[in-house]
Formats: sequence, structure tokens, C-alpha cells
Amino acid sequence: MIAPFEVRQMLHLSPLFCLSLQDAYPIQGQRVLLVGSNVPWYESVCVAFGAALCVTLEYNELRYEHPGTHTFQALEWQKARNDSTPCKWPGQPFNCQFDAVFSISSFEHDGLGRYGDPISPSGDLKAMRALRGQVAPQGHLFLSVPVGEDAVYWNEGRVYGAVRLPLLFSGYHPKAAYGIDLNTLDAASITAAQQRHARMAPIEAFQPVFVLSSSAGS
Amino acid sequence: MVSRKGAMVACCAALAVVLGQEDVARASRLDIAILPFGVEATNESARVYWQEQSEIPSTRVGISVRVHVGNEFEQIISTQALNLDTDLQIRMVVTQLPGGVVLADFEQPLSSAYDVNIGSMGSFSLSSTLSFGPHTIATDSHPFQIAPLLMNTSAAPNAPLPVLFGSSSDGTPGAVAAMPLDMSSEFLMGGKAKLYHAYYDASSSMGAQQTYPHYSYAQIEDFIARARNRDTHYYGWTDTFLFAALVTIYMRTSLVLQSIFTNNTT
Repeated sequence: MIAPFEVRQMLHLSPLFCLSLQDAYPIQGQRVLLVGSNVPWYESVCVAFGAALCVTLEYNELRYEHPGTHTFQALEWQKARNDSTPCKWPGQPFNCQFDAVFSISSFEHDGLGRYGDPISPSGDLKAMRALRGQVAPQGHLFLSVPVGEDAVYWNEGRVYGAVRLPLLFSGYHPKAAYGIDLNTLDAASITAAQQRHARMAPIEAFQPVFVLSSSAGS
Repeated sequence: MVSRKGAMVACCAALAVVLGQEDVARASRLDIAILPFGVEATNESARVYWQEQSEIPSTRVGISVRVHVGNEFEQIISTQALNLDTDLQIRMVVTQLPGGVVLADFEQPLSSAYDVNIGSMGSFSLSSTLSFGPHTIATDSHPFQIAPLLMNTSAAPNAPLPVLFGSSSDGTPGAVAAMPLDMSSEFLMGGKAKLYHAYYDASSSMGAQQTYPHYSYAQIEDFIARARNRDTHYYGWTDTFLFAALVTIYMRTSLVLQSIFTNNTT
């Protein structure tokens, strides 16, 4: 049995949670980029929540046979950007920046080589920096990575704690967090949040969702 | 400040081995090793080195039981251990080595005792109670793992182990079994991150470059319907957090939250 208080804490909602709704970031009608994928689940979330466009970037080849999804291999996408190839889908030319970007359990793997990527200690930080150019000035990045005590599970992935998490956010402006309190990301608070999660979902990694913007004003 | 002293393990591995008479000779060939976290039990030189040490600079240890069983490996029927401090059941990893040797090992936080059972074959059964003590964990205020200790203190107690760290990366993309030594300090942020071993090699279905199976229109439509229903998928609560971030109107959010409260409190 889980107390409502704990659930509210998991969702980072105060008892006056209606006020927190100002932090909601709808994607209806927006162009959405999804980074990293091997199952079209978050593409489906993208479609289900009414996005106008759902584009997936992935190291590997994907075959998602649905008109609501568009997939690119990362190298193919990067070459197109280097060549200044315009981004256009039927009826939707735009400047290759997205209103919303989803990165769910992806960047923690970058630089460890597990998925055929180059070995790089700062692969995750570089990926975050590179992504900034894809986030529209008023857009948001929905980021989820494992959170806990700072660690590297070679070569499975990283866990972000009080040291690495601020580095990962560098160049972005954290707007909201779901599953953890954005205002208390010190080691003790992260551990406490992780332990709460472990009581509720003992076999799941603790992966809150952070909403970040690429500019201070958005 | 991390102490160099580490976890002092005065190992008194008290064995309670139940054997058939014909297996006494083989039992004499049983050996147990207590290794720092991350050291592969199959690494013979590391195994020999650490068996000679009285101190292990890690609060998480690998324990392995190695027994010569000839050609009767297939008859090993169970491999499990119990952490007697926590009553936690531990599944052991079994490896068949050349020369009829079976190695069963596991990694756990240091405990005062473990109850180890690596199965039976015929009249031969092997269950051991391994007791460790007294041990002290002198870490000042912070627990630590061996990797940052090795990389970030000038007077590390032991040399880096090749099984923890590999040779320099040549920049070739792809999975490598061990963190390149020349990159380890940066990977571990000067000792502020711990290192664990969770390797997926190039042949793993969960790792390496691969072409994923395709998803049909019908399959994706099914996913979309589930997402509309706010079902969660592989990442569980992460999906719930994401839905909470995406909701647009008060009433819908309120109902979602009430639903969560109801589902978890009734």
C-alpha cells in the first residue's frame, strides 16, 4: 500500500498540486523529436498526445511502419544538417528545430560503446550540447536518465547524481521535474527520492523526467 | 576524503562441506576467493594476488567457490547463496572452466556470513557457510569502490587491475569489455563516481549495433491506444512522470492523479 503523500512526492506535486499544473508542457500540435529508440513506445505517446510531427533519431536502423512516425539514423541526420538540407515533411517545412524533444533513457549510454558509439567519457555531455541546436528557443527537452548515486555501470550506462546531473544540464535551464524535487538535487535528497522509488517499484531503475529549456525565457 | 584503508577482511572462511567419502580428495581441491568488486573470478592472476591479501579495498566483494568436478559438471543442479546478514537470496553465476573445474561466484555487499550451496552430484553435495570476521570498514565517512580509490589517491594500496581497466581506446566505435585506463579518471570524474561492471558484449542482444525488428502499423496503433489510456510500458513510473509533464488541462490531470491515488491506496 502506498500513501497518497508518497505518490504526490513521486510526482513532485504539493498538496496544492493544481498550482503545479502551470508546469505542464503539452505537445499538442507541436513538432517533436525523439532521441534514441528501439521500440516505438514514445513515438506512440507522441502521436497519442496530439503532436503534429514525431521524428525519431537513432544510431541504428528502424522500421516503424506508421505514417505518424518518421525515423532517421543519426549519421544520416547529421549529414543532412551539415549539408544544410532543409527539414521538410509534407506541408511542414521548418528550420529543423523542434518544439519538444524527448530523450528517455538514452544519453546515459552515450560514450560507453555499448550501442556501437565511440568510447568517450563525455559522450553524454556532448550529446546534450549537440541537441541544443535541435530545440527551438521556446521549446523544451523532456529528459529522463537514471538518477541516484553517481556511477558508471561499464558498459551498460551511467547513473546521474549530485555531481554529474548539473553537468548534464549545462547549457539548459531546468523548468520542472517529475518524480523528484528540482529544488533539492543534493546527494541526500537524490538518495531519499531513489529510496522512495525503490519502495514503490523495487525492480525499476529510478528515472525521473526533467523538463529543460534551451533559453532562460521559455 | 576517502580512507586508503578500505575494508579490512580478516577472512575466516569456515567451511561446512558435506561430502561423500569418495569425494574427499576432490574437496581438498576446493578453493574460495574473496575479491574486490569488479575483479573477475576467472582471472587467475588476480585471484591468486587477492587470495594472498588480508585487506580488500572495497565494500562490495566478489566471492567465488571453485571446485574440481571432473566431467560431472552437468550434474550440478543448483547454485545459490544466502546473505546471512540480510537473508537475501543470491543467484550465483556458474562458469565451467577447462580441466573439469566449476566456478560459482557472486558479488555482494560485504556481509559477516554467507551460506553457499553450489549443488550436488551423486553422493557429492557441497554447501558451505562462509564466515568473515571480524572485519572493519574504515572509510572515514563515505563508502567507496575500488576504482575511484585506485585512480584518485596518490597512495593507492594496490596497483590497478587490468580486469577493471582496459587498454587505451583507439577511438574505434564499439563495445569494449573494460573501461580504457587512460579515460577512467574522466569517466569517473576524478573519483566522484563509482565504477560497476555490467558489460554487454557485441554479441549481446541488448547491446551492439543491430537492426531492430520492424513494427507494423497495427502494432504501433496498439501502442498508441495504450498511450492514450495512460498505460505504462518498459520504463514504468518514468512513463507516469512523462504523462504528468504532458497533461494539458486541470480536469484531466486531476482525474489521472485521483486514479493513481485510488489504484495505489485501495
